[in-house]
Amino acid sequence: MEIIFSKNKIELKKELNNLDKFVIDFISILNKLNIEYVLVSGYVSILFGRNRSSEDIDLFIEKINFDKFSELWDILNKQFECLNSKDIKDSYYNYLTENCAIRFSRKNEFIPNMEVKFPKNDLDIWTLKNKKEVILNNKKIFISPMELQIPFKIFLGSEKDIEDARYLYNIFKNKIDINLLKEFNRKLNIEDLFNKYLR
Amino acid sequence: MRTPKIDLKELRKFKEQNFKERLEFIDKYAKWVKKNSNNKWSSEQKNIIE
Repeated sequence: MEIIFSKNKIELKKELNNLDKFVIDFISILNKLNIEYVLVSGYVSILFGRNRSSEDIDLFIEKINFDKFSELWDILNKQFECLNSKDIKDSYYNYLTENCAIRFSRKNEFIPNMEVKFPKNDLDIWTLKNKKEVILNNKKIFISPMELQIPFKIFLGSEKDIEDARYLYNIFKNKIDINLLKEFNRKLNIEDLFNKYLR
Repeated sequence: MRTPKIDLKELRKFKEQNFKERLEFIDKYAKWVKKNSNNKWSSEQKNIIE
């Protein structure tokens, strides 16, 4: 695996699969509108080679006002459609601002879909603020830092999540800030599980 | 219809064993990914995902 890893950036070139292409197409719209975002889901492990697919990709976007959301909605709707509601006000006021996700798929498709949320607590805000830049085939995307992504997957706790954590830890263990990872293990109260499954 | 006897304790043991084997496989797979070129692993990943 050829990967360039620095404190705030990871550079990776790979043959893109359909999920990568879906993410890049969606994210390029957020980049264009200068909307801050971070990818937080199992897609992070798929991006770095985990051999599984996913029907949804989780994403936090910064809290934007309705006008900015309208701008985003109009551009997104050229390629994507919202699966929750076709009504922009409903999507914004009854979903996003109520801490519920809205899902976008490519037009006339259902999966994969991008699950878009506003950050709802301190942890989500921290993730957005400390996002890590990935240059994937010269395209910029932002992901959750590994020091949080790995412990959080263990915290979620399904077999699939623990497998994702184990995979990412195997790939990145010599590159990440172990003290920060341990701090999240402690805060999420998963130190025993970490030692059981990842050591 | 006669249904089989189910030993839940035994099934849980098999489930745990299966999970342990999958984790070991992930270690092997991660080692393989690290050893191989991006082109090699991502092209295999693409075949599986699509």
